[in-house]
Amino acid sequence: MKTRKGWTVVIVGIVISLLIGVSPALAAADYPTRAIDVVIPFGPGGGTDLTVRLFKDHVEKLLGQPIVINYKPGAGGVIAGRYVKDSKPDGYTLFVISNTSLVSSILARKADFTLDDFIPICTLTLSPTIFAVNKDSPYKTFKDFTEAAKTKKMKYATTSPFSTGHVIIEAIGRKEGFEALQVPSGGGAKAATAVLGGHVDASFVSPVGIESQLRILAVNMADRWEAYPDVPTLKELGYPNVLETYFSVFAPKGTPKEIIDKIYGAYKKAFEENKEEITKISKNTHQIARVLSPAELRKITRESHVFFKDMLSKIKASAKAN
Amino acid sequence: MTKYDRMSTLCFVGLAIAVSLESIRIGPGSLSNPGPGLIPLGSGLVLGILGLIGFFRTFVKSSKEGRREDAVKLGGRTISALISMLAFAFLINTLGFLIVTFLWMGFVCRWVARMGWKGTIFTSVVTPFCTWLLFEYFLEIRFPRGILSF
Amino acid sequence: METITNVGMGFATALTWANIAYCFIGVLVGTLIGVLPGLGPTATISLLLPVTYYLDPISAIIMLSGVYYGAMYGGSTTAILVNIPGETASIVTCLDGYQMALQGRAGPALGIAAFGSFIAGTLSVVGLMLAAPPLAEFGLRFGPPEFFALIFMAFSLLICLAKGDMLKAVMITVVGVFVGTIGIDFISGDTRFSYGSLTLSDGVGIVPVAMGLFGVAEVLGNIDKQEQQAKVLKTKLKGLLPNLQDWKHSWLPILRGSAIGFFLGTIPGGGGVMSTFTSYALEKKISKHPERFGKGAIEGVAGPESANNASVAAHYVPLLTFGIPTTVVMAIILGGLMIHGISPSPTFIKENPQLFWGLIASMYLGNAMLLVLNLPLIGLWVRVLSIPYRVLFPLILLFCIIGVYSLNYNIWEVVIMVIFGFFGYLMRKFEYEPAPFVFALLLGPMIENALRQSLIISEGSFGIFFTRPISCVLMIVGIILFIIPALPGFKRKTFDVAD
Repeated sequence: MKTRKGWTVVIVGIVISLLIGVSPALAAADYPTRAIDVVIPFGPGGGTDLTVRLFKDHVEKLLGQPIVINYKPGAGGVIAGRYVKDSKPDGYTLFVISNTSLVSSILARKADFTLDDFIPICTLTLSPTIFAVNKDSPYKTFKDFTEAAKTKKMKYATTSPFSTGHVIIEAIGRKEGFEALQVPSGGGAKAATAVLGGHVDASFVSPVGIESQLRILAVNMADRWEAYPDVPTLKELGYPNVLETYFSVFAPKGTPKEIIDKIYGAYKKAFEENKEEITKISKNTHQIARVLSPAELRKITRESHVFFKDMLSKIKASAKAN
Repeated sequence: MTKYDRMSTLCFVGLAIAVSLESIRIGPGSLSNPGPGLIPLGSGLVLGILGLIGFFRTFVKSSKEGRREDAVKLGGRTISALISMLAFAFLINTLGFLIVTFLWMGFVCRWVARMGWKGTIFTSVVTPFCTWLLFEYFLEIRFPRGILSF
Repeated sequence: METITNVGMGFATALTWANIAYCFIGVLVGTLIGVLPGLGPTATISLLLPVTYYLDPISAIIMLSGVYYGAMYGGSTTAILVNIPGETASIVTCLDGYQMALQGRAGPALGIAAFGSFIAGTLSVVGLMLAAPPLAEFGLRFGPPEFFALIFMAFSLLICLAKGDMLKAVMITVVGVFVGTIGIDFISGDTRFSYGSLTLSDGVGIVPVAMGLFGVAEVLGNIDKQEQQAKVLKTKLKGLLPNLQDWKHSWLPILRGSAIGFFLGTIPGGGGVMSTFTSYALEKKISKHPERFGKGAIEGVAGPESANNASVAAHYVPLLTFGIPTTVVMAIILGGLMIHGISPSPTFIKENPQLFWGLIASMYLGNAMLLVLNLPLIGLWVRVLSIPYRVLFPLILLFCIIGVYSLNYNIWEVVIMVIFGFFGYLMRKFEYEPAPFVFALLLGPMIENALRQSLIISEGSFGIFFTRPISCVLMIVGIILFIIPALPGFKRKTFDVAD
């Protein structure tokens, strides 16, 4: 009797262990079985929200489960990042944030998480940063501007200190040998408005629509932007091409690879099947839909981190010197 | 009222000193190149000066005496209301919205509003349901779910 | 003459059954959102955005505008009835509106708010129709120095908001400025006074503060007195609508409020709160009986409410002419437009007459609907007030908690509201007023940023404020307004506060 009971226990034990061992794979195999939370670090209606909604319906159909957008605004992304970092890595919590915001919140906002806490899944859209001056301004090319900046202090508007625009101009300034004054405006629209109204010399922000009334001198992208084919890229002008801003999807560290691949597959397919519609709407919102792979996103994020870290220490050093 | 005026103005003077010190630490910059500490420092200094003026003013006899002398005493119910609201905020993430609302309404209705048991139970049961319907269902606001996941 | 055909075309577009329905839904949802404290049009409009993807742009923008209007009006309802500003723009309405309710005159208060909003909305739509591009150009000229001057002027007016002791008012204003500096300083990137708290690093939100200082504090104050008197919320129904006397007092404030709201609304940052508060301060300053303000003067409701509504239409001026969103709600609406492939520009109005005029017509429609919707509701609201207070107040508190939580899903903001509820309670006992504090909280960061941006642009010179025409004028006005209270005649009032 005892032996029989003993054997039963052992067999049950083996079966259970096998099940436990196999279950992540099982879980991955039938992922998703319930709604997926997509956490975004800003509130409803912002650029991130619109980007997620762009893909949402299509991905929902492909994965067969609803996607719920979870807004966790605050502290420039730190609150959202923390939430995702602490959540279970089972693929049911995802994080959509731009690589620049992520890097900025880690370095400039001193978040208590690092890049390693997140697994890159894929990019969704590319958001160009454009350098624009007023239509009545005497500067017709980017070179005009940089030359002039060497003789007098130019003022350019950005969204906030250590934003993409700020950091890039600082980098360019150091290369060319000029110092420009950053006027933080607290928002892309506000920065563009400042140029439109002639209060500052230039602005360097992500497009918000007002740019059509400004003169655009350069674009921060690898290739020329379709919307403004005559505008050179910073790369063409001889500056390193870094800090392209991609709204991207991340998952908390520890999420199984099968699930990551599944999510990437879904987004990629959603994009390919609905290319026309997604491209059209993203064009209207001045973004470029582009779904890149996890490996490419990892590279992009790491490069941003390196560049940003380097520039941040340089900027802080010269601020102390002043 | 003078007694209370003295208390309040002195509190403000204290606040002013703390703010000013911290602003200096943050870095006021200069008038033509303001740093983050400038406005806080300015407000601290102005507050301190005004607070002192206000304090000394209470010693000057004026026709202020004929005012309502509302004693500043914190009623027990006021305190329980405040504490209960804090409890609500802190418990909502562990116990979930529905449970906390039920408990909170129960507490407030019975002990702060002094309703009878019937009224309390009725309100505490109906309210979570109605608010859930209105906010979560119609307005799509996501309330936290507690450990019991609802 | 072309305008008349256009208007006609606009009405033809707006008056399709579908668009009327969308307008109605928008206005209804907006009113509901406005009435619920804390919830703002921002969240709702964003929620509705996806719905609008499937609509054509005209219907979409009609619905979203309806929500905005509705919310503006709904906010005043709670402000009047329970002293909770449903919207930051309704804070000013609490000052006299609630007092009117306490005197049994909630009906006339609500009524004049409804009528004033309607008149103002209509007038401002006319303004939008006639003068959009030049006004937008004017708005563009407001850069940091002009903005600084404008807010400086506002601060001078701020002191007028106090109904009692001037010294205390200034003190509490300064505290408000300080609290406004808590958080990230977006000019230098440093955090101030937040000591590691993530919530504080975003600053002390004005919504939790306003709801705490006004709504919660009021409830706390009343719980105390429960035994003595069932507070006069059992309205002796002195008539549900404003009477002739009320109209006599209100018609000019309504006109003035509309003008103020419209002009300020075209300036980025100038809509909503700024216009209500400027209107209130102006009315108080030019009134023959300023001491009535704060005790139920109907002008204190008529003016600001009109300004509020007028600014909504005005927001469209920079939006449609240049694509500049002046408030968060406008930014979302802009997003909605862009998704539909519509890019605002100076030629927008000429290139898209159907959209523009359809929108204008629907604004008229929306305003009319609001009036029709809300007037009968006044009777209902007044009856809500007659619910015994001890049943009512737990619900009020609960709605405040939910409202604040729903903003950012952050329990700490609820905590902030409770803390300020406590402060508000103390402030009432110690005789300090909450209104100047809230406005300083709002305006303080704005004026600081404007100052520092201006100084960056001028590379340190203060002359910039006087070398530019607009800011020079505003600065002089502000300085004059500042000096007036210090004149001898005024001083008497500070030290001799009769009841």
